[in-house]
Amino acid sequence: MAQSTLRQAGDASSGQWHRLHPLTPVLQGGVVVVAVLTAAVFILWENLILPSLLVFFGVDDELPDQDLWRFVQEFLGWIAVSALLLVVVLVVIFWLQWRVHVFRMDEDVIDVKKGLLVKTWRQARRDRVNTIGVRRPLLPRLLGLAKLDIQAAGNDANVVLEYLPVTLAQDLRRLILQGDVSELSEEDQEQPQREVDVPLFRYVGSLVASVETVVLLAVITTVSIFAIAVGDLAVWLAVVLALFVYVVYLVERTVRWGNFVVDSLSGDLRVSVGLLATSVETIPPQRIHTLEFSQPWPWKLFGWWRLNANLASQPGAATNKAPEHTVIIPVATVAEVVKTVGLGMPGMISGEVEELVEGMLLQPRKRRAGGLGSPRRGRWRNPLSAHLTMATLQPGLVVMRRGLLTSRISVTPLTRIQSASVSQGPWHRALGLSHIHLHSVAGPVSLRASALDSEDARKWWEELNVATHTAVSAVGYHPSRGEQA
Amino acid sequence: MSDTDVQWQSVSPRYRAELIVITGIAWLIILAASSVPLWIVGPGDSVWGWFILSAVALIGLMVLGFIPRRVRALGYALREDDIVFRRGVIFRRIVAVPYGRLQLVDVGRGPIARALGLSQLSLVTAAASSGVSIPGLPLATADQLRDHLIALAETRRAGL
Repeated sequence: MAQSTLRQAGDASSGQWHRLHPLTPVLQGGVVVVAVLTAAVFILWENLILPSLLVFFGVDDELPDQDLWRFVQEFLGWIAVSALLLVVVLVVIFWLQWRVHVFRMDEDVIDVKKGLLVKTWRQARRDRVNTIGVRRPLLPRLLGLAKLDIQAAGNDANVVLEYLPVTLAQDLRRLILQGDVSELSEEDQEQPQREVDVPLFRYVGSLVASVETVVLLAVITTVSIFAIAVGDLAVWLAVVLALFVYVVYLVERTVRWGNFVVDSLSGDLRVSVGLLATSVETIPPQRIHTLEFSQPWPWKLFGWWRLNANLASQPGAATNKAPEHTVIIPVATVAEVVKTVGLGMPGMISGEVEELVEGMLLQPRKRRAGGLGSPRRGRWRNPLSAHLTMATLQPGLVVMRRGLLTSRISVTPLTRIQSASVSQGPWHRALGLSHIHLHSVAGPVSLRASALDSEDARKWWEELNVATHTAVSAVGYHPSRGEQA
Repeated sequence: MSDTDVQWQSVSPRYRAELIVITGIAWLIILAASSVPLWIVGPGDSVWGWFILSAVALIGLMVLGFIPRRVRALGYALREDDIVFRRGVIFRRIVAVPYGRLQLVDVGRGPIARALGLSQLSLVTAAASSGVSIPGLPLATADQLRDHLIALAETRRAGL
């Protein structure tokens, strides 16, 4: 079994085993070593390192008379030898780890083998690959390395190649997504097209204009009034502390979510995020099961919307430090939302649907004619939002809306709906109302409409069942390539 | 939610026995737990203890008495393109699962169901919220239904 370190993406598809970048074990386990060493330096600084440096540079003449210092002088040779030994052992372990961490890729599968004591061998079928992420935590990013996170449908169903040089990781991603591995030449490489770029000030603005800020302000006001009334200034300390925590939160979120960009690349969506540590996720449109636009009430002033998606993959334990990849855009304008919906569901958004969605986005609180809505008596069930609830069957799609304080509008292709239910609890029943729930894959979006007229809901549900079946059977299924239109 | 247009198949009446045994055991445990005040204070001078115990017993009897109605509310129907399942008396729910969406079909048997010759058929789609499991099917029916559904799912398969 000839093994070599992978240098060119074109070599990857040969079905041969390849090693990853030699620094991988250092970056994976080495962080712990660095932390231990740093801690050791900090502990010994005062007693040992600082005095000896001072002596070395001739600032102090005499060494302090300490037990520790005498111990070091006596056993200097031994300490040096054991330190050296430790380094050698670590290097050997890292080297062995690097040797056994290999991956292989051919037309059908991707294999990753690793582990010295506990061996793991993970294999993923290439036709089941859902999304591919290129993640660059801060330290690897400084070294020009990245990890490739290949996700299949299901929970923790991902294969991670870490670490690879960035360009190699990007080439591999393209190679895997383009399917046919033999056709990868320079001319074929389409340039990504910038679609949405979230300005930093808008993202920070969206954080500031949030329910959390309003709550914080309310608390601070209450506390301040209380403090003035009581005359105890110690309470102000709590306010300062709260503000400090708030600023830390803003900075942390901005560093993680700033620089948010959506590109389109050969029909796929490419979502990049992060100021320091970056993560790039490539999402083929057929893996988007539903898109939801939500607007918390403080955003109404600015007309901002958040875009979430249910995707057929859940990041596993290995990737839980990365931002949730179900966020397609953290804060977008109406025009950007409309554009992204078109990209995420290509060929499915007719002019009529686009108009409908845009109208809803611009006036999320306006009652609309058409579709399935809540009758007047629905107010007894949902006093705030009954008049906004709406579900409408469009060619190939379902568009839904609900919520007053947080407006939620969703667009779901019929071919992605798994099943649908009509239900009613006692209250619903007393009012002759029903609740409709469309079942989508696990994710942040739930497709529900409540307080609908029972007869209408049942009729709509049956229409939906027929439409779903028609849409599903119009899509052929090819065993090796997944769905084809 | 009128159910006139669907030819519902009901589950086996023996499922009532399964539910009565399971619910009965659960309520006996709850009853034992709610008799604790009587043990502490002494049965002679605790009106409240007796009150709690009898209230719990009453609710238990009502739940048991309600079982036949709940079993009658269960139903499923194999239609042209999908399988529909309904359940619930107070909280009603009807689900339709297109055959092409079935990822796998599960047949499970608990100890009491086994003694009564019943199984539970669970349908799994890519969505966790589909939540269709049909209890109280006779063994042969469940196995037959499973094979039938798997065959249908294979011919109408549509990925995710």
